[in-house]
Amino acid sequence: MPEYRKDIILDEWVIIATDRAKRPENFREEKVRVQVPKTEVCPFDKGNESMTPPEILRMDSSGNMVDKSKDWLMRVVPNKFPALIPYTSPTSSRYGVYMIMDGFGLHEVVIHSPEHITNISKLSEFELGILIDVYVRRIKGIKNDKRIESVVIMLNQGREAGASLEHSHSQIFALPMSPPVLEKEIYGTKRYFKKNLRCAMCDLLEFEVKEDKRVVFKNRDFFVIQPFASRNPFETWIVPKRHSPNFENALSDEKESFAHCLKLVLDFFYYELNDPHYNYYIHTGPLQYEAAGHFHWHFELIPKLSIKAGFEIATGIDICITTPEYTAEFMKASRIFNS
Amino acid sequence: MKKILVVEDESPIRNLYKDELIDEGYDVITAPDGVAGYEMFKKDKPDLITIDIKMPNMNGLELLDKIRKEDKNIPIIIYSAYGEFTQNFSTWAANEYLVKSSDLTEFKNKVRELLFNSKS
Repeated sequence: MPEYRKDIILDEWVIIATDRAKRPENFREEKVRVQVPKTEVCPFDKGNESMTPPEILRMDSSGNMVDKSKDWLMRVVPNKFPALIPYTSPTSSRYGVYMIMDGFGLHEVVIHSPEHITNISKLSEFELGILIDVYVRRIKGIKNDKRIESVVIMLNQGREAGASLEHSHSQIFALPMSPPVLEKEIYGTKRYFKKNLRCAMCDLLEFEVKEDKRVVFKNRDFFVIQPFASRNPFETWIVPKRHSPNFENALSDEKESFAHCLKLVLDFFYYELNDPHYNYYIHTGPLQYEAAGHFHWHFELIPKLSIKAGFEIATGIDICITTPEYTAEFMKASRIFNS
Repeated sequence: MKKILVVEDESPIRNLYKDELIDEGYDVITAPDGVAGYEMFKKDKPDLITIDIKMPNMNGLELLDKIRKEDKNIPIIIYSAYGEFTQNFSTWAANEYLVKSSDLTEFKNKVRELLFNSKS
């Protein structure tokens, strides 16, 4: 029987279609995927630095922040042709019944390698640690601008996930407001907190450990889970054990543990699921106020293994065509998580 | 006199850009698509190129990529009627990206600025 399940973080229902559940191994069937167009000249390659705007941050292969004269492993640059601009004011005004605001914000690009690598799973665990450090450094830097309320870090892996250039990169958006999805998570966890005087994510983790059906992996500081109310097959979360609203406050050891989990997850998708396209993002609490102490930062990866059809769009209720219990079991048994 | 190559498939826009740039004192040559644009880039050696993104035969991003493979320094302005290309990082191989507008002030300013910078 199909089952409605409620996500206590987003406070949303999903349908888990257990009757027509697809076996997890069926998701790795060969499929012709639309690829990002190949370019002869890539603006992100080593040697083409002049094609990007002046960089904000440069890291070397040891994970040190270095100046422009040194070789680089990762670079952060502002969007050359931005949709959001920093040199305006985020004040809103009325326009009839509507509300408008100048397109204030920051949009930065993190270039993952000087080499033309096309998949983030090619980064080593150590390099992923540097990438996490880059994200943390940038959020801390952006936080100094008191007009910025939230930062969203995201990656589009593959054309079907929205990538426009194949050279591996992620993006940082800084906004003067909390975007709707984050707002919903903040609201959902606040509601839970008011009712139970506890963090929704901490309770969720406690239950998941006890039930042991959807926890794929755990290390000292993190859990890798298939969420109970998965919106997509193989939706994967990496959640810190320690309650903390903000990702940028992760401790050094936690950053290493996070890199370890991230490497396993990315390798799983690349090697065990035949490299599906996916988006990942980090949801971290608002930057400028402490009112979201009930929020628990986390990482989400959403693979493009199903299509939102009319029902999902019209109702806002996603149908997941396999169960997270099934996929968790499959992941645990894989050579990535089982070695 | 600086030579500018305008690559644009819609003839009214192509002619408008041509007339406006001639009025600014440039020598202007035009091409109706990416294939012709590439041939003129090779043959006529322009000082600056303006390229529309959505074109038949070879689109503007393909033309940009082909030209950049041979010349990393020639100033290129890429433009489109659609703002969504700000999310497409392959436009970064160009020096400027503009959204098409009936007001050509910004377009002409960018042409002047890029030619000035390429001289220095």
